[in-house]
Amino acid sequence: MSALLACNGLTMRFGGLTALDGVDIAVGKGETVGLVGPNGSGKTTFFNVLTGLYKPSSGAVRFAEADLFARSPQEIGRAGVARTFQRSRLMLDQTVFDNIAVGALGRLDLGLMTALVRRSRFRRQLSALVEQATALTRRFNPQIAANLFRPAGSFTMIDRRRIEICRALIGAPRLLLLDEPSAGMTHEETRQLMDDLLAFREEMPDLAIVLVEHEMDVIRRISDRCIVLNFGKKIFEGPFDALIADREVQTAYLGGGE
Amino acid sequence: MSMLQLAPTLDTANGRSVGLQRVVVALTVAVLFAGGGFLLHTEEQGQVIALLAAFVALFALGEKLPAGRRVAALCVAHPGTVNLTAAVMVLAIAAALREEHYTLLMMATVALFATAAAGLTLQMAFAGVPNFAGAAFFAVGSYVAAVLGTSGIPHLLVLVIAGLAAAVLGLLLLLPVLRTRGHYAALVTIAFGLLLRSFLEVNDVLGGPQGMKVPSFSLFGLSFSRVTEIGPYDVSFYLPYALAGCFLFALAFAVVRRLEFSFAGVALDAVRSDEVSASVFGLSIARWKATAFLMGNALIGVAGALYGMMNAFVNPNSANFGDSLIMLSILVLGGLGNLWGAVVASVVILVIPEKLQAIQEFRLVIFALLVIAILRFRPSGLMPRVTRDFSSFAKEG
Amino acid sequence: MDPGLLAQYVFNGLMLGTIYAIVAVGFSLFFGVLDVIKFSHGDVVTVGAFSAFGAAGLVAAAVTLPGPLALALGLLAALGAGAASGMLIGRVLVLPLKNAPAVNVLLATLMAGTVLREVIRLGVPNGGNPKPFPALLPEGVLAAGSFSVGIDSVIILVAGIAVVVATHLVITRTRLGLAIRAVAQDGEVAQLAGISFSRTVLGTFALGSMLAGLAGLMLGLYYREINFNMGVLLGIIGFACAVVGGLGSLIGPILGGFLFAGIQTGVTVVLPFTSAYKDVVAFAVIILLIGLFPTGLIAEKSSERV
Ligand SMILES: Nc1ncnc2c1ncn2[C@@H]1O[C@H](COP(=O)(O)OP(=O)(O)OP(=O)(O)O)[C@@H](O)[C@H]1O
Ligand SMILES: [Mg+2]
Repeated sequence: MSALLACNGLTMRFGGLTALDGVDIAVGKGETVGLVGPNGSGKTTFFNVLTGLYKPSSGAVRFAEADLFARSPQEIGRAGVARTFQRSRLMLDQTVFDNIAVGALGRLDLGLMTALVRRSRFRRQLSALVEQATALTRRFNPQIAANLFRPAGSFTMIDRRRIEICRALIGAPRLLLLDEPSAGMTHEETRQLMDDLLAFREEMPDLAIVLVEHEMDVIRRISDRCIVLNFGKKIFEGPFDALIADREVQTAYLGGGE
Repeated sequence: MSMLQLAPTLDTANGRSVGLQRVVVALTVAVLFAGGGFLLHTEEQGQVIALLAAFVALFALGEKLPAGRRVAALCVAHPGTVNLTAAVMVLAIAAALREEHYTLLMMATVALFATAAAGLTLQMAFAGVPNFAGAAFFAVGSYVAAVLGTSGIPHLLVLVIAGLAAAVLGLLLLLPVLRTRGHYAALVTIAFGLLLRSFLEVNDVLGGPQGMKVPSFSLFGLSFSRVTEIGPYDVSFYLPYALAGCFLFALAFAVVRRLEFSFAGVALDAVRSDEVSASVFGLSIARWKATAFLMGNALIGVAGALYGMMNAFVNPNSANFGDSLIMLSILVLGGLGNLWGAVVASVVILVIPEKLQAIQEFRLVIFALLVIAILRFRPSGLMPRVTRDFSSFAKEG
Repeated sequence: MDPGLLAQYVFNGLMLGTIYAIVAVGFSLFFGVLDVIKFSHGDVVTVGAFSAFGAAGLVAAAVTLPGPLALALGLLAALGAGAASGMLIGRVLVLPLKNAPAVNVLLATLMAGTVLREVIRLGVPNGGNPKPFPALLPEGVLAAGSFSVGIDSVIILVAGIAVVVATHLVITRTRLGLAIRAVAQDGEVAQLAGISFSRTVLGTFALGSMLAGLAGLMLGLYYREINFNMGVLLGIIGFACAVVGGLGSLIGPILGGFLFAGIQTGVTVVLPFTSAYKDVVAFAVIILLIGLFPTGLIAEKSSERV
């Protein structure tokens, strides 16, 4: 079976800096890939290139048999790639529901006629979405579900990350990119988040996930396969146990940095 | 969880107390409008000052006292009652002041500027597209009314065409506006306003610096300027304009509210707050900014057309930068995204200086200082936009 | 066309361009250090003009001063009043609003400009009417064929160009200039390097507003008439020149200034019958240029990190 996502020789330069250097990464349906690497190794850049925010310098990207190289973020998003951001990007003064709805707008009727005239059609869609958002947030924290119509800014950082994940999931993506979702969480909270995520995955066996994470424990527990970036190059790919033993990875982390 | 305790007790309210709540809301709105109507009517300096003081006091109470905040929250929770009461009060005020030319003229002016502010709300408050040329698009509407008003085209249609014309002219700016943000986009609109004004001044086809006469609005063959009595009552010919202006505002209000409470409204907010995440979730930034910009200009154009017909003339000075700033200030002073705020701000900026003779000479300074103070100390305006809450819609659906 | 007349147009164009450039550089300086547009800048020009008018005029009424001394007095007044009003607005309005949305700052400073304008209109006796500006420069005419130009105009032009060059030197060669450039690059890093952020910002406001005051004096001397709202359009044009040239750069706004003046003059020369349209064309070109170069001819360095 061919991979859901296949990147070949993906390269991204910022002026003189090569943030991604001929990276080959493939992700299969239903696979969870852990993406690790020291600070500044290009993990976030990989997500940004993949989601069309940065135009890659060269390479190839295929997703679900479509060519997504250097496409617009909109096209890529509609093709089924959703993500969270390393630095949370929510509309803090809008309700949780509105934030999550943004993730579903791609499949909702945004027409002006529906907004202005055919209100009953809008209400039907709204009710259905409220139900979905309630069910989804309840999996991650019932408190969020109970307060779906409170401003996102009134929640803790940790809940905001959960909300961001729900926003990414509500659009039923085929590939989910998580950029350090556990940043700022305690071990226990991180474990809880990953359990919730895995439980959700049970019902969406085809959903592929790429997870950027510094906690090796988390990577070990949930990833089927690991990829290590260093200075924009892929220096390792394989199961977690091999990663731990890998020489180059060790030097990247220990002698790594700048 | 404290959040649960804060959850609105409205949900548990039974039918009777909901009825009571509606009464409270209706009374509050009625009192506010009655005060506003009286402010429009009175010329007595002492009364004007007392009224203003009363408004400031009421406003402070509504904000500082728990009971006041509760009433304010009720008003938010029962928009239908608010709107209905407002409509009834407007009719009542118009009926009571039916013979007063100047009062009704001001009422219509407030309504039409508030309608223009509704257009700007779509652009600036929802889509985040700055428009520093509000008066220019308003003037476009007036000019269209001047040119087409005598052509035999029914005037209702002329209003529509005026809106379309303003939107089409806005189309010229679309590319630069979409490609830019913040200061740059603001400059595009500023430059357009100046361009249009100079053009109108030097182009003789549209009357040059003298401008043009605009025929009075006529509805189904009834010219507004000929209205002097309705049934047994003598009325000012501004009465139909005041009513038409308020009706136009009600329409604009409905459009803006429905748009806000729809998925399109969510899309607009997403585009304004964060273009990066909006585009990652598939929203076309250009589509939404363009939609808001064109719709907004159309609303401004329609309001401008009726305004021109009411004033019976239009000249290039109508498109001046200062008036665009007044429109923007109405928006900012009232609270970006809150149309009732825009109404209040229109009254503050357009009516109060007319009423307080003492400040007439200083009206511009005071107005400027007021806007500066708001921006500096209360940037969300007198009546900040209320966070959209879909919960009531979802339940009914 | 008659070469003398053409030369006249070129001279006028250069004069306009110099004045636009001086105003535009101010906008660019402010934007460089603080990422804000201080839209009261145009009215600071008016403040400068009226201060010079007041100083030179009042003194001349009291005692008869030799021309150069009156001029020096006017110059000092223009620079001082410009710097003072610019710093005041910077201090009480722009700095506190530096994290507010761009449009808020724009509106607030536009309103500050309105206040300045109204203070002049209401505060100066008969301030609503144009005022004749005293002739403080040597009289006399330079003529070559059909081209003739007042000595005073030549002095103004040369002085204006000297000011533009001097500003460039201040920015590139002095400690203040170094501080300004450092803050413009990265305010936080500059602070770490021991540069006082707020002092540099205020210094920039002083410098830029002195330029505006000077432009006011030049306008008064050149047109011999000043007016409480002379700064409005000039402010907008200066802003437009800075934006089209590239906010934050120094050469960009100068380029923009001469470009705008060039278009206005060019329309007058090439299309004499439609010269009334010179502003229409100039603003249309501005809109077009922004559409083509959304961040200015000399692009502002920026890439949003995600
Ligand atoms: N927009 C940009 N412009 C210039 N350089 C950039 C940009 N975005 C990222 N970089 C550079 O690219 C390199 C990779 O950055 P990236 O954010 O992808 O690292 P990362 O692996 O996500 O690190 P971290 O673990 O700290 O999040 C860094 O050197 C960074 O400075
Ligand atoms: Mg990163």
